Amino acid sequence: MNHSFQTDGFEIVQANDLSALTLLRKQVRDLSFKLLDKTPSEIDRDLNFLHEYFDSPKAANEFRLKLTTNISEQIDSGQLIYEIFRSHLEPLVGFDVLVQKTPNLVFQPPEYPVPTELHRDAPANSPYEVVVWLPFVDCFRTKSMYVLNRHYTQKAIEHYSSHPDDKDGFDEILLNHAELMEVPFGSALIFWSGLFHGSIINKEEESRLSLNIRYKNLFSPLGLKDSLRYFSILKTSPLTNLGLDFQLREQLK
Amino acid sequence: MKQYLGVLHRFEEKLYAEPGIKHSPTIEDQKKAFSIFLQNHNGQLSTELVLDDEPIIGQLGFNNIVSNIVSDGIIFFTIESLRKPNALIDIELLGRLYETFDDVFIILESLSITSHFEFEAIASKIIVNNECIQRDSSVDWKNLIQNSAASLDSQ
Repeated sequence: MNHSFQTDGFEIVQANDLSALTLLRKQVRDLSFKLLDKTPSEIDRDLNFLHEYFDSPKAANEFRLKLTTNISEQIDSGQLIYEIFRSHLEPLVGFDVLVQKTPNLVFQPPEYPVPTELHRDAPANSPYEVVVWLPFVDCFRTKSMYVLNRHYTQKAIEHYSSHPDDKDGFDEILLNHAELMEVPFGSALIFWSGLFHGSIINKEEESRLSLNIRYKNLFSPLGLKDSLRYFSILKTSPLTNLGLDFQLREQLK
Repeated sequence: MKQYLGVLHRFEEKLYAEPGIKHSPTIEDQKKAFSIFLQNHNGQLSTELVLDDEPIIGQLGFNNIVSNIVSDGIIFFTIESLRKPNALIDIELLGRLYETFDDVFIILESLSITSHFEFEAIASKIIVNNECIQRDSSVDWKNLIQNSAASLDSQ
């Protein structure tokens, strides 16, 4: 089923530049195997069965944290991902763009007991942010994540406001209307920061390795998360450059 | 080894303003962060200042210390130390600091100013941030957002 960002708050989109995405995936695989001190082989197999190198969730999480740091230090993933999905992101965030400084890496091995709890980013994040959820493997069923579309996110919020103690009623909305996303490698899920989303225990036989990263317009409202700490400027339009240069001179007189 | 002036920030004792973070960084937390930072930058602190959670331009003697000290740079724990009473970051003060010191580092926000290019890039981001803070907190803006949302709803 096709979804539209405007109506549903999310959309699964194909990469504009598949070769750049393939290269990014290879870089991530190579960094992973360097960390593990293992020799890589076929990339799909390497990533889908990454869990074979870990004997506990704790070890898998430690690996994830180290890999997050290495990716952040060695790959300009914010710029790359923006370019790879530019035709889908530019209409949403415009030409003056902020990007999350450090992308989040998620490693979800089969039966890993700590899925991502149901939550929405905004608030506290700005409701003017878009999240790019980018898997490096084919994601389907429980290997993927779920979202509640705009309509049902609003229903869930209203239900919680009027029946704050009715957990069963809330869960019913979630169970009946949350959609597990089918996102093959080569695509990304882009979703609005106000949507409820999360994941469940991965019951498939393969691991999920994915990145998520946020973009927003430079001039959009800030939210409670400190913009200076979490975002950096990705690009600015020529007009904005002139305005900023003018203001800088005025304020430093 | 480079010598730095270090500026720690004593946050008010209240819940941290940012959701999901249980408490503001203590002075001890900040000292640990400084230690790692200095190790990575092959430097040491020549002087350590602790600022209360109020604008540093209001802190007696700060200007004197800053202008009389000999140091290769200044390291802030957080840009909160440069915030004015109206919640905006003091861009003019940042400019003065950049002129006084070769290097300005801000650990929590991962900001590093070691060239004019970097100064302009960071100052530009702060200018926009200040503009957004002013706009977001204004009554006119809130009204505009509410009216726009109501108009979208009725479409």
